[in-house]
Amino acid sequence: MKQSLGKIVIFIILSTLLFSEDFIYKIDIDNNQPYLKEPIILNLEINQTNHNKVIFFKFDLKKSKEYIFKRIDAIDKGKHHFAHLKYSYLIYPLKEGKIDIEFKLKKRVTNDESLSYSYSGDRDNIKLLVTEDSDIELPPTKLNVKPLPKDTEIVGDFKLKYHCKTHKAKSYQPMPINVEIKGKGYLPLIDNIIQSDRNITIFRDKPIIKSIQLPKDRLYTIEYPMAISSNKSFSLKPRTIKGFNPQTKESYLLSIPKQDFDIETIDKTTLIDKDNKPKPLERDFLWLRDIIYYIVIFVAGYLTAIAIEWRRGVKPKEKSTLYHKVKRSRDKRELLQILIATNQEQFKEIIRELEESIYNNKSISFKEIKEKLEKEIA
Amino acid sequence: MNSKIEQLKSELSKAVIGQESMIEGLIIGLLCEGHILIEGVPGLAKTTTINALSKALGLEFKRIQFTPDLLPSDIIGAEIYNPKEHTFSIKKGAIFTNLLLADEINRSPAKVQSALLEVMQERQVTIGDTSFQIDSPFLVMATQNPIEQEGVYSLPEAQLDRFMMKIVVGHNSIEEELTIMRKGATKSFEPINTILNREDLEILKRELESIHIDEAIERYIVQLITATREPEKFGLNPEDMMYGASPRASIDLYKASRAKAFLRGNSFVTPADIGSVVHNVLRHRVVLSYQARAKGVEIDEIISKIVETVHIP
Repeated sequence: MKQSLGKIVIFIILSTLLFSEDFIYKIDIDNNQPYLKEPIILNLEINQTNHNKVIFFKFDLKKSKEYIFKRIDAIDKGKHHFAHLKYSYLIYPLKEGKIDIEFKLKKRVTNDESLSYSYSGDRDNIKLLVTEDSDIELPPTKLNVKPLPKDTEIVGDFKLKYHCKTHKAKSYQPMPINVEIKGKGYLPLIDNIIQSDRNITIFRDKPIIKSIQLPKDRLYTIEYPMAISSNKSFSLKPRTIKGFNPQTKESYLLSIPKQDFDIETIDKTTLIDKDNKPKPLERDFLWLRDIIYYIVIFVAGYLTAIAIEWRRGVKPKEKSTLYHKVKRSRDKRELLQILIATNQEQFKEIIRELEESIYNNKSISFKEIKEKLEKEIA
Repeated sequence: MNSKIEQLKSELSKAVIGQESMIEGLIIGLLCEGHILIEGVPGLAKTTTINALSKALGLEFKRIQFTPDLLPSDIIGAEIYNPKEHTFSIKKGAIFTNLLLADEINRSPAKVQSALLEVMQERQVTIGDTSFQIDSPFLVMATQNPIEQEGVYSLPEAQLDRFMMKIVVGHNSIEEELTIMRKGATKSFEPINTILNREDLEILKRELESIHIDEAIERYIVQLITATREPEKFGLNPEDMMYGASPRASIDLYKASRAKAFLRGNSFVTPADIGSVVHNVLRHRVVLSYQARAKGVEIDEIISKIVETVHIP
């Protein structure tokens, strides 16, 4: 009777509420009295009822130390003005007794104008969608978590496989050993799957975890790659792991039986390494030599720069080149060309006079104008 | 000088103290339908000048601050989707104006620069399927800050070529600075009145067409441009120049020297008119070689050498 009752899916509709006439929501879970670490499914459905607005919803579960969760499905069937969302979560309770699953829901209201403006942007010019956001308080979903039977290490329906490649080896030669736990339920992570022993050395690698999401659970395959070595024959103690299957409400045992390993002792003298490889570190002063090189190069560069600057500085200062050009000019046309090339406003009047003389045959004294210019420039 | 131009200059001097070369460059740009690139440190009345010019001419003025996140659609405009009506409507960008100040053009990446420079050349904008003509007059005054080199995108030579002139704006003289300081502190700058309109501007452009340019002067212009391409033919050092000026430079020098003669009140172009605009026209078009730059040679020195070397008619 108990088993048949356990198989019946308890479908509890926790709440169906209407919020500010804008939307209705519905939250349901398949079991509100789970065992510790037993997976439960939570579904949320939101339907917009006020179709005059454009509403977006953002929903998630609040993080807590009392449970872990994973979103396994999210369906958005709605359109603007007709939002319709469905979310599904897989939750594992991590604490016995009463716990609250809390939610965070944000409602983002906007209008068609803002929406069209945000659509008008392109890849390089994304326009912000302006919304009025409000946080919606949803009542938490309460769970009454039942404790596990004493000494339970894994929760779910799991099988164990182990494999030793060899049971015979030489002293200190590592022997690979592989343990695999596979099944549905809570992540079966076990710290010391092979218990330590003073006479043996255990080399442990990180467990390899593979998982597949099932509609209402998760399928795990965990591989523990290890190797063991010793200098004499030894026996690996048997290991028993107690598991609990919440579906059948029954405990079960997974075990690795006692393993005997035969070690062939070898002559230790052949293991002794007589050469120092790599050689021990010796003190050297190469770093000091390098620093001196750097300093010498820096000083040489610095002095060269100073020498170049000094050579530039001692060059005799030439008289204005324009002065010489003006002095060398032989006729009005040549002088005009020199003044035009200077592109200076101060010669505007002289340029005009020269132009008048060259192109309008106005008489001016070349000698006078040249002397006037020479004085001005000097 | 034409009295209208004189009035315009005097009106602009109410708001802008000094900076004659920038004002003259803008007027030349307006008359010749060319665009101006200004290089100078911040605070040299670049915005004030173009704003004053727009008021004095009764033209529309807009300013775009180029930033790294500016997008082509911010300049030319974009199509906006209206989901209610399922239609797209066009929102015109800042380019739809008469006078545009493109501030710190080298702060934006190449795609934004080329969006602006394309409109400058074509005077037409295409948004979606629709093409729009930009109303005349259309003058772009772009500025470059020469101090900062970090986080700037230098304009490529091909795009610089689209600017008619590059004017280097320097600081004011001490006397000008004193006037600016006094007027700025007491907020006593006089308001700018509209003294010319579009029709007046068109008349000025037509008057400009009548300025005579002799064939010898035309040949002189071509020789100046050729000297930038084949410096060895004119006895100049070919190692100083990497690239010479394009045919667009010849056209712009021709137009600018005619405008300069017009502004000087002459009815014909003289070598002095060419000489006073040649630096502005060629400064951004002739590319100095690495050797010349390493020697610390300035582009203006090279242009002066060319003017000195090519014989005037």
